[in-house]
Order: sequence, then C-alpha cells, then structure tokens
Amino acid sequence: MSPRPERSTAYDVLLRCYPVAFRARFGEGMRDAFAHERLEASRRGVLALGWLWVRTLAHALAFGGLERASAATGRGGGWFRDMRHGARRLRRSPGFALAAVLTLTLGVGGTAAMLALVKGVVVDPLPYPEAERLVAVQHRAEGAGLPLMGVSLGTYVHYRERSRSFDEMTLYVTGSFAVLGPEGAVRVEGARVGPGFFELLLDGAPLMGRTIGADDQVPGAPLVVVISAEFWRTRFEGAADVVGRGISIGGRPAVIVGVVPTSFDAPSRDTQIWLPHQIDAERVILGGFGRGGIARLRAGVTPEQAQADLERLVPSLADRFNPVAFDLLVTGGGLTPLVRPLKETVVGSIEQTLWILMGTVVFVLAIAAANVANLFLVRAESQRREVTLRSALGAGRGAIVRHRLSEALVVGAVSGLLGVGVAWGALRWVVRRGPEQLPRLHEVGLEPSTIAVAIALALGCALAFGGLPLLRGTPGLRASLAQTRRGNTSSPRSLGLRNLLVAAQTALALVLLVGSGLMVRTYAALRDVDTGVDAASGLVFQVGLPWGLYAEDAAALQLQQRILERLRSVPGVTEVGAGVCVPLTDCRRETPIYPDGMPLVEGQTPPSVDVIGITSGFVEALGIEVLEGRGLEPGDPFREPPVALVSRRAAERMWPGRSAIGQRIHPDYPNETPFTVVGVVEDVRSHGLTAVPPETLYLSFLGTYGYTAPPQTLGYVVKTSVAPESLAPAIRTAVRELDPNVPLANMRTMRDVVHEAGAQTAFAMILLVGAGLVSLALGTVGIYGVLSYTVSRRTAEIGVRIAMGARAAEVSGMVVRQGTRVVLAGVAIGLVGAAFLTRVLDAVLYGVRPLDPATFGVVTLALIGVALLASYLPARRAALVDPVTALRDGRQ
Amino acid sequence: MDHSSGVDQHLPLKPVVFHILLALVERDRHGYGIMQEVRVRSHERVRLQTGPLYRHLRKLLDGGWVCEVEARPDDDDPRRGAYYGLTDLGRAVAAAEARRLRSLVATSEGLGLVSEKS
Repeated sequence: MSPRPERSTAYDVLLRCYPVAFRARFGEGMRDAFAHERLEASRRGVLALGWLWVRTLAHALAFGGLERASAATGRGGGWFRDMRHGARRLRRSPGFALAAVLTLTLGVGGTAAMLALVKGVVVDPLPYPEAERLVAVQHRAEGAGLPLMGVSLGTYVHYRERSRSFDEMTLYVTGSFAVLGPEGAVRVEGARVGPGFFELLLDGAPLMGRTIGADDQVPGAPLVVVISAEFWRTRFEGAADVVGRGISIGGRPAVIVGVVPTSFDAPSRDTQIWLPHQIDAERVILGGFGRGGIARLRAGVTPEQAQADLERLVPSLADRFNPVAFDLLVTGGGLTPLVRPLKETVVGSIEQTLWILMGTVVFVLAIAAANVANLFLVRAESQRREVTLRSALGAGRGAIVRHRLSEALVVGAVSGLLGVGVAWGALRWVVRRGPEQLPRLHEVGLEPSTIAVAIALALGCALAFGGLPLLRGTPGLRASLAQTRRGNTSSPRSLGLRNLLVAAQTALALVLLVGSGLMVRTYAALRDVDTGVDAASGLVFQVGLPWGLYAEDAAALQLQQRILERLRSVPGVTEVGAGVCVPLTDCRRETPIYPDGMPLVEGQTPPSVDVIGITSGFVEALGIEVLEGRGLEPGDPFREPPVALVSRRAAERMWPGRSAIGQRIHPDYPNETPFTVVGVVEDVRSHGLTAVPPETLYLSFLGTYGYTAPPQTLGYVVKTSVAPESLAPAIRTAVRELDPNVPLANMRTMRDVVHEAGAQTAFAMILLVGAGLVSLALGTVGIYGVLSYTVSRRTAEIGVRIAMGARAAEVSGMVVRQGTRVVLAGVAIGLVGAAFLTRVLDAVLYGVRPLDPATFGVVTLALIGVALLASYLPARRAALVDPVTALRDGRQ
Repeated sequence: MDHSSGVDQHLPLKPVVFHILLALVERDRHGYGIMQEVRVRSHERVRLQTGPLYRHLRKLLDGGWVCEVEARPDDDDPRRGAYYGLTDLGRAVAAAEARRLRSLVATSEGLGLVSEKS
C-alpha cells in the first residue's frame, strides 16, 4: 500500500461549498480521495497540480451549489418549472437580466478561452506517446562560449551505446531541401532523423506505408523518404499509389515509403519530409552540436538522474575522439550534457506570458462576479416586499429559496452557454492571430472539459452570488413591511456589502489598467527601439542550393555570385547582399574567436561572438551604419589575407581605446589564417528587440570557405528604391531564370521581420488592454448601478431635503461624494495591489519600470474621472427629484 | 429477469455511471478505490475526479443502486470514509446495460463493421 497522503486544509474550505448533510455523509471519503488525487498530481508537476485545483474549485462551486439547491428545496423535479418561472420574471426586468448575463458572459468566456489556451499550450502533454517521459538532450560548453546547443553525432553515438537511462535516444537535424518536380524546384522544410525517431514520437501508425526503418539508417542504404499528408495532397493530389514512387530530393533519387498524418509535428510544424540520417558510428566526430537530441527515459528514471548518467560518460569521450577537439570542448570548454523534459524546451519563454494573462482573466472574472453579486443584492432588495408577502401567505423556506435561486440558475445557465460562445470566438481569433512564438497553437481548442468548467463557473458564480441575499435570511413580516412603507434607504448592512463590492471592483480594475498601461508603454518602447538596421526598404529571402546539383564548392560559389549579380540588375534594386543569416531571423552563431593583441592567459576562455559570413552589399542593403573604416567590397573575397568587419561593441571589448582597423582575428582555431579588420559597423539587435545587441564579427563571406563548406542556404537582403513587396515577382523570376531548380523561400519585407519580433509583446498587450477596458466598463456599470439604486431608494429623503430648501447642487454633490468615497477607497487598495502585482510583469516589460509613476498617475486619474462620470447621472437624477411626487409616493 | 422491465427504463446509462457500477461488481470499495478501479479498468481513459464521483454516488445511493456497507477489511484506515457496494437493483441495471451493449456489438459484427477479433 502506498503511504497515506497528507490532507489539505484548503480542500476542507472548499468542501464548505457543499451542504452540511452532504459533508457529514461524504466528507471523510472526499478528503481521502482528494488527498490521493493531489499526491498524484503533484508527482506530475506544478502545472498538473494547478489544473487539479482549478477543476476542483469549479466542481465545488457548481456541485456544491446544486447540492445545496436540491437540499434546500426537497429533492427531485420542479427545477425546470422554477427555471421557467425564473426566466419569465427575468423577462420582466430586462435591464437587470441583460446586465447580469452580459457581465457573467464576459467574465466566464474570457476565463474559459484563457484556460483553454493555457491548457493547450502549457498543461497538456505533448502529442507523443508517453510524452511525459520524453526529454531533450542538450549541451553547453560555456568555456567555449556555447551556452546552449544540441547534440553532435559523436556524443549521440557515445551516449546511445553507453547510457543506461534511456529506452531509446534519437536525433534530428532540420533543413530545407530542394524537391524537383515538373513546375520547377520547391524548397521543402524537412528533417534528417536518426534511428528510433518515429518510434519515440509518432503516436499510432503512419497513414500509408511505413516509417524509416533500421535498414534505411545503414550508411549507403538507398535513400528513402517519409512525407507528410499535406505534402502528399499538394504534390501528389493524394494519389493512392504514392508509396513506392520515386522523387528527387536535392538532386538525389529517393523512394517514398510512407505518409504520416498532418498532425505529426516533430521536429517542427513545418516539416514536410523526413529522411534517414545515416550515421557511420566509426567515423563520427565529437564536434558539430547543431542536431536536436530526444530520448525516452527508462521507467522510473528522472531527468536529473539521466543527466548525471550522461555527465559520467563525458570523460570517456576522450577514448574515441580527436584529443584536440576533446581539449577544446571538454577540458577547456567544460562540455556539460543537459537533460530537460521535452515540454520545457517546447513551451519555453511564452509560459510566463500566458500565466500572466491567465491571472489577468481571473481578475476580470472576479470583477464580473462582484458585479453580479451587486446586481443580485439590488434585486433582492427590490423583491423584499414580494418575498415577505409570499412568506406571510404561507410559502415555506424551501419555496422562497427556490424562488431566489431559480433566477440565478437561469442567469448562470444562459451566461454559461454564451460564455462558451465567447470563448470559442476568442480562441479562433487567438489561433488565427496569435504570435508565431506561441508554440502548439494549432493544438488549442475548446475541449469538453473546458466547456464544462465554463458552464460550472457560470452556474457556480450565479448560484453563489445569487444566493448571497439568502444569507441574510427572510426578514420578519412586520419589520419588513414597516421598513418598506417608510421608504428609506436599504438596510445598512446590504449597502455596506455593496459598497465593499464596488470598492473591490475598482481596486481590481485599477490593477488591470495599470498592467495594461505598462504593456502599452512597453509596446511603444519596442516600436522605438533602434534595431540598427533600416527596416523601411529591405526585402529578405532565402535561397537553398539543391545538394546534388551543386555538390562542388566552386559550383555553389559561382551560382551564389551569379544570383547576386542578377538581382543587382533588377530595376528598383539599389543594393544586394547575402549572409549566412539575416538579423532577427534565428541568427545566433556564437563562436569563440582569438583576436591578436588580446593576450589569453592560460586557462582563460577566448571571447565568444556571433560570427556571420556575409558578402559585400549585405551591410549596406540592411542599412547598417559603417562607423569607421569601410564596408566590404566586391573584390574582398579574393584578397589575401581575408578581411572582416566587427560590430561596435565587439571592437570596444577586444581593443578598448584603440582603433580596430588593421587588427587581426583568428576565428575558432588559433592556427587558421587570421582575418584583418577593415571596418567597424553599428550594433544590430540581431537576437530580438529587447535583447542586448550581440558582439558580432562579419567575415568576408567567400573568405570563410577556407574552413567550412559553403552553406546550403543563404539569406539574401535586397534594398529597394520602390515599395519592397512590389519587387517580389521580379526577384523570383530573376532567380528562376538563372536555374529553375533553385528554390526561393521565406520572402518577407524587413519591416515584417521587425514587426514579428515584437509580435509576442503586441499579443500580450492587446489581451491585457482588452481585459483592462472590460474591467473598466464593468467597474463603471457597478458604480453606476449602486449609486442609481441608492438614489431611487432615497427619493423620499431627497424629496424632504429639497422641500427643506436644499439646492440641486448640494443634493447631487451628496450623491457624487458617496460614490467618490467608495471609489477612492478602491483606488487606494488597488494602488497597493498594483505596486505588488506589477512585479510579475517585470520580465515582459521593456523600457518602463513596473512602478512607472506616469502610468500609475494617468491610470488612477482616468479611473477616478470615469467613476465621477458614472456617479454624475444618478446625481443629476437626484437633483431633479420633485419633492411633491417624492413625498406623496413614498418610494418609486 | 423479474424486474427487467423496471430496469430497462434507466437505460442507456451514462458511461461514467456504468463504470462506477462495474467497479463495484467484484467487491465493495471506498470512494478513492472506485476512482482507481475505474481508471485501471478503462486503461486510463476515464479519470474520475473527487467532486463528480461523489455527486454520482449521492444520486446512486438515493436511487437505491448502491448502498453503504458496514463490513470493512482488516487493514482498513477509518479515515477512508464509507465503503460502498451494489444493491440488487444496481447489479440488475448494470447487467441490463451490459446486455444492451452486447446486442449492439453483435449487430455491428453481423454487419461486418468490426471483426470479432479486432
């Protein structure tokens, strides 16, 4: 037997949602069952635990409410009839019904949408078999300036042979492949995958044929390819006999052996073709960590244990690999394997933003709930006389409770259903417009469990707050009738409760508005960021060389040169260049370098900078400013020694106080021909708008071929004198004329590239501002509702005041003062809350501090202004009270 | 078969309810025991949670399909809460549901929709 889990006090509190009799009957068993559930969830992680609590809360609210309702009314039937009566009564007060339903719909819909989003992206396991045991295997070698990278063939083969932590370990490398067909070449995103890739990641069987088998992985085996269902439909019109057909990939013939479902998204959503990564275990090298490693933990092994296991294997890498490489990576670099749950690496940085948004939406729900509570309190007051009469005429307590709750039930049910609709619409919007950085977005949907939570929340809120007036009990007949006759304000206790609710709403709204204000300022700051490039007139795209056709380095170089020349002659193009990658598009190329004149002490690691090979024209086409010296020239590739540019920060670090021009740099290996610096250029925010611009070394492109093969794919940058997008067709034609087999991909304007880099912030900002505005609207309705109700209840008193000579301004001032007092109290609480809560935003803010006084000030003033406006209308009505009518009617 | 006509009016059962009844066929169980049994039997497909389980139990108890039982195993922990068992009515309803499903399966097999092995 497993050890007895600890019981939760918080759950005891939740149990109080259920009626006493129910608790007495089932309480022990429920506590025991929940304690086990909690223990199991906590073993699966914090997220599973959080999700369990959310569901448990919803269950307690909904079922507790329903059980209470059926306990109070005697069990069985009648509820439908009551709901019909409730609906009929609500139709007679459309204002109340509309306000309550709208408020609750917004709150519940927003919460459900956000829950679905958080669940789909963060909480749900990845769509792979036994996903919770899948881990990503990565490395870092900070001593070599490599903070995070994948696995190399060498480490992969070594671990796979010797590690005891994994059931299976595989690897992949993504790339784009030129697939030839009748209408020319297409560039297709693909992956070369190691043994076990499909066994680890494909849930179920392929749609057709088979996946890549062990025989296909043997070096020299005939090339096979697995294609996605989408590729099958678009390229082969879904032909039934596609398996077995030949296809040319990168100029090499391959045979299609299988089709996998479109939902298969490993290693990325874009992957369309999978090829075997044929590995000759005897000939692999230690370096080259650009491959992704995925493994399935053996049952009972934790990622930490697996990591420790791999760490033990690192020293034995020396037995089989080149000692120079071993010294550089392990002895000097401190190569360390990292084993992390695969999901962590997939969800990554977006998680925090999503939880912040989730918190935001819960705030909106709280505001909506406060509003609904307020509306029901007001309603109960106005029905007081009716209820008193009913009970005087012999209605039992059960009937009274039913009468009250039937309306709440109708409001809850309707808003639950509408809320699901709102959630569905909101999710559709998010899935269509959400930022690219939001992973797994296509997996997000409105599942039955989320729908159930939404409806339970709506019913729970409505029943809990609709039932709130019941707590005060039914007043005695005489007291009640006498009080009504006197026509004074409502009972002080309920007024106090309502004021409290309004103050709470104001406080929550203020927190949300401050949050959205800070996000707006962040977004504005991002728009003003100087990226270092001129985004206005640039067009970027990639050209990948089909491997088979340009296998010789010389042929590849020649083609790349000819593309540059041909593009330069396109009318409207003023500048053309190419580089290994384009800033802001996954352009991290950190590499250790050895500058002359910066002596390395024994044991000290060399500086690590982004090393990017570029051609002449690249810096100019991107509009990167040349600060000192010159840019690259067309003749530079043939110059000996080769030349390079450095970014300003790199120059300042390597040669402080000296000119960088003429200095020499050895990239990567100390014994290669050094590069001579001929220019210093402005820093570029290559890694993202908010990231510090990396220190960068731009090597004259063709010169770098001395130590690496020409890259398969080059990023091209074109500067135009006309609107950049208008040149797209001409550029495509120009490249096709050179060689129709060379595909061109990812064409975007530089403006779009910069825009996309800020998309995550824009997305968070839109949602936060939306939540802020909704909360402001709800808060305003709340203030207005309470004040106008107070005025209507105090009509007689106001009539007396006016009859006694009070002036209109004094009367309206009195009402506004009442509203303002409550709002100011709320603002004070809200400011304190905001000061604490905006700290969680710190990580997503940029260019503004969490305690930005301007934002706090403007938002506070705006909120107070809106509150004054909301109290003005009731105040004016009070001032217009006709004393004669007021006193004659007693109440209105 | 004497109360089959009375039993049939409860059919079809909600899948969850059927699962709860099935969990109690072999022996009496406490609440968490039912949750575990349902999970194992359904191959992890049905994961009952505390709140919904006890709401169903309340209805099943009130309907007389399930009853609290006094007898407890020797190694029992008093904090587990009550043990529950099937009443004759509950057993009859579960059996009727099983027969209903069996005849549906037989029909599907007769139509060649599924082979008997798969």
